[in-house]
Amino acid sequence: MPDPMIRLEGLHKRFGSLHVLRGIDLSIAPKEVLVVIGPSGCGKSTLLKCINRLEEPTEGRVFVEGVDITDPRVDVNKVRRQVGTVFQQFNLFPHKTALGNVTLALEKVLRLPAEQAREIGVRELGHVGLADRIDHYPSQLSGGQQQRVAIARALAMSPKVMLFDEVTSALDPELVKEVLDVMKRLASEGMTMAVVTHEMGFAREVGDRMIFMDEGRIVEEGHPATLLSNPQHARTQAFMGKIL
Amino acid sequence: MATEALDLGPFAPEQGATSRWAATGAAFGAAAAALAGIAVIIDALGPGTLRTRSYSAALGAAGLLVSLGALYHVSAFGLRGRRLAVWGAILGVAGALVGIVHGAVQSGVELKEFGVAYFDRGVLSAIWWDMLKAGANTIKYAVVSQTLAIVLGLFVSMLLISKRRRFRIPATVYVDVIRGLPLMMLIMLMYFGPTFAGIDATFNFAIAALVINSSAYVAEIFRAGIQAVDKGQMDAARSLGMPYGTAMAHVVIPQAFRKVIPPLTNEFIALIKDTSLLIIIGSTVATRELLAAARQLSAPTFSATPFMAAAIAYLVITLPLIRVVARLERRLSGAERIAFRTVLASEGRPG
Repeated sequence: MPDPMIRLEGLHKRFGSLHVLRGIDLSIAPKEVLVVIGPSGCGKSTLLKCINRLEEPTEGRVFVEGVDITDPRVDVNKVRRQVGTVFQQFNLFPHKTALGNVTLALEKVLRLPAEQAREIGVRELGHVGLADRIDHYPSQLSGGQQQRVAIARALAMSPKVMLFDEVTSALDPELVKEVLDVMKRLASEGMTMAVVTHEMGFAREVGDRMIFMDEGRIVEEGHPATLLSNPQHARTQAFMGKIL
Repeated sequence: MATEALDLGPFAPEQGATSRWAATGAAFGAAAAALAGIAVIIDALGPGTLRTRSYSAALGAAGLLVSLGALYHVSAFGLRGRRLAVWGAILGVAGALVGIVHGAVQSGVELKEFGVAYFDRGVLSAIWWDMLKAGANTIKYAVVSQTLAIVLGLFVSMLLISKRRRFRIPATVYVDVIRGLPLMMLIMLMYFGPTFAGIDATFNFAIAALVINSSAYVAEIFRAGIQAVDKGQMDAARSLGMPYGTAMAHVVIPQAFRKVIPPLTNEFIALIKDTSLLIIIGSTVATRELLAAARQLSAPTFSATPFMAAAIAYLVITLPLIRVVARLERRLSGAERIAFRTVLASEGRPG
């Protein structure tokens, strides 16, 4: 078994008196697609945010390619270049065009010259099927298009891992497929992915492994098909009963 | 009426309440106007009494208040009610004006002399060039102070939003203290204070007081503007590996700037008016701003005309800016506006 891309050890997160993550141990292997499911408020999103330290873990350690990123000496900005994140609400920069969204970090973080950043931006936007939309502002794009720009923006940094936080939840139903298609292709190209989602069809088709979380703990894990059709734990069964 | 053809079902406005208000307003206004008219007639026919004067003024004011109240309550409902309310307001204002003029004439005010005191052509032609120069000074002081206040205010706002208490607390104290002090006192403190300590205070000391005062408000405006930017923007920028400063400079502040332009323009309008407080430090012909010039010119001419000239000059500068703010605010999206106003309101800032 190869060294894990991501490893979480005894991860806890408290917001004041609220204990959101209660001891998570988890590994994600290179090229693995991990699907995270669970009822709302179970800590799925917080889990993802701890992987790139958008939230500081209260306790426990997070390793990215074997490096403990909770170590205070680690340059968290360098860690985040390796970990791409796509958000439920897209969070595109509204004052930048699609291309500007993709090239901003290339220029300001990686210090690439403008032409080279533009080249990468055009290529990445082309990959998500938006070659003809590069000069549009987010407000001129549909939700699905915006989310694809957000994916292109994250991919432009050549991350080793991609985190997807309910990226289709804010989309109209007819726009979900175009985003999932991009994610499927990404998985088939060998990207390591952690995907929080309610799209069980996608999870079954693309996921290598699935974890079910509840009340800040991993309740059950297994192959998506197995977990979806034959959940063992009572809480998993109850959850599946509600969503399927 | 066309509205009757529409079946609004449960969404139909309750017209009774609003039209009752409007009718009351109209009635009061009309009564006020009528009584004022009667008062004038009585006055013309025979010796006026104090009672007619009081009635005309009081009823006029009452009509105005009630009809304004009606206007407020009518809101979007009922064309007829709105028309009634508008007429109520107009009649109310007319009644009040007639009452006031009637009262003034009764007290022995010569309208012509009164008018000349405020608008004397001879005085105006003698002072206009001086007033123009003073207006240029007013603009100069306001622009210089505002520019420096924006630089200082942006810096203070960065401290205000800091997670670190050792930055945030001094900045909060600074803003609170400045906001709690009268500006005129601040000017006197900074201008006369050094003199007592043996330092020769120049005009710039007083300008510095304007800068410091404005910087506190500017800092609050920027803080509100930055906090009105969705938190997801910072998350997205940081997740791409941008350091905090880079994310602020390239993602958050550009968006905040769009939101702060209307309140910042309001602050500029306030600052233009606040330059008039410089009158207390005494100024020369070269350094005086509009109000100081008006006062200095009114003494020898024995006329209020310089003050009227100053008033008009202030309006020439401020009214276009006021319209600009209104236009800019309309361009912000509704949600942006509400989010920002909420943040501002929580700080109890002046509009």
